[in-house]
Amino acid sequence: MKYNKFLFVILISVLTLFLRSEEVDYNYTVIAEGLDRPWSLAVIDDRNIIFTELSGSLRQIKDGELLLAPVAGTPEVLFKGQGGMSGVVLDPDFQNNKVLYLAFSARDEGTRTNTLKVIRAVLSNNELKDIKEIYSAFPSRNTALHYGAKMVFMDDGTLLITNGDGFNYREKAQTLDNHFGKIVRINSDGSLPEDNPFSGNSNALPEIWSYGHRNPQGIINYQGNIYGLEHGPMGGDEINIIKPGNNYGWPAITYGKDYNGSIISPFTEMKGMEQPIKYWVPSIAPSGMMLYDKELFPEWTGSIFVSSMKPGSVRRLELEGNRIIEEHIIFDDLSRIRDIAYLPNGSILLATDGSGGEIIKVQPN
Amino acid sequence: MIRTFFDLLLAALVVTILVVVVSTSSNLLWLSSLNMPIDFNLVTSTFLKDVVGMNFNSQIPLYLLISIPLILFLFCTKLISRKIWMNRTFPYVLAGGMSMLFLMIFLPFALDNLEPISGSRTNIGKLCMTMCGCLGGYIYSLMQTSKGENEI
Repeated sequence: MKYNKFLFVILISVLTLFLRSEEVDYNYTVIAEGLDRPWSLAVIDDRNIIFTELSGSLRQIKDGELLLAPVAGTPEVLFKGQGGMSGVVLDPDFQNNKVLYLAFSARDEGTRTNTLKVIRAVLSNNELKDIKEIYSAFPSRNTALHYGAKMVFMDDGTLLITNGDGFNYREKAQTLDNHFGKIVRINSDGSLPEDNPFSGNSNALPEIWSYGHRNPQGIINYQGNIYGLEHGPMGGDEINIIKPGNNYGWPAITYGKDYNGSIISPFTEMKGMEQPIKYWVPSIAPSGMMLYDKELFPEWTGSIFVSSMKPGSVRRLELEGNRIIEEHIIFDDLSRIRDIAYLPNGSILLATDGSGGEIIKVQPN
Repeated sequence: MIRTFFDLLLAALVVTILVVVVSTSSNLLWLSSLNMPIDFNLVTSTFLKDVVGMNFNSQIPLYLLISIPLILFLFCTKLISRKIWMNRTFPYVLAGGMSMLFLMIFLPFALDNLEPISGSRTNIGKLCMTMCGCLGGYIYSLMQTSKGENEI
């Protein structure tokens, strides 16, 4: 009887292991290679993709082929540290108006400081036209780290822009008179929506949507829910559900430690500060995020995917409501993965980091 | 010579502990300004964790980071002051302070303006760190005096 029980337990354990493992059979196809630090992907359709290279270029894959010449007319960027040509997002009406938005770090004229800027431009053939600066983070900084620089459109057509804490300015993430460690919300022409949470507050900048962020490098809008992904220091990378006016705690509460080994804050939670729905200790260096709602990989439908650089892999997170119930590591046989997106046909796109970076399409076998 | 070396290491140890005190205090003072509940136990435990963390869990141990310029500055002062007939307390105090100032200027210069020691990001923080160096220099001078080296 005891022997049978033992066998039963073993059988259940083995079955559970099989059920938990990723049994999806897929293959990689490199669709662009020899890239200089690809950073952010924007998908037009199954065969047309736009992406940034941190060194300052905007590139196109047109009809499945990488155009050798970068898009002309892009603004001059400050390519230093973590700065450069960063986020790219398409206008919700891109198919008709060909408008896109670029986030990048730029040096201030005549000074040694720099800041995060966002422009709106029309993509015509392989050139940017009608360029208009719609956002410039305030104040400028003298560091070239922690820009954030990812963007997403909300359902009402307003644009959310993530801003990092600039590394040296982390305490400013808790005050509302600056853009360090904030997610801001503007209209697509750069004007301010009237219903921002701090609009009538004379002590706060009216663009601020949420605050207390460190270096948010992933932001998605799924059915009206905004999910934000941010780098922690040594540990403490987070996924948060972003809501207007909320304080996400950095650096007053954190699950991470400073790079110099010291305690940033002894607190991990506090009243009035939001908890992440997921955090990682040690850090995985999360870089990009998507919520997969296609059917090409039916086992993965409804999961959040987080690309990570330490080690290079993708974390697939199973959602139940707004709760993450399971984490799976996939695509861990590539190098550092800088961004992730999916095509309308359900294939997954990965951008690998560094000089010699690639864009890889993942399809089922 | 061994005694001098030991004294230098001891002075560096004192400065390291003082720097951790400043760094931890500035952090906790800021948290306290947000009305976070900071009590004596938390201060003590955070300080002890910082002493261990900043010396054993960082990429470059703080003690090593502080020791190199401090020992260099104090040792050079010792060599120079041998040639000059003077009270050495002030030169050692100055050398200690200068070593910390050098560290706070050198680190951002080498790291693209990043200031890895969070306590030194403000001017008051920089001043406190410099004072820590001065105190280290003073302690070194006291140790030298006890050996009878500091007499005019």
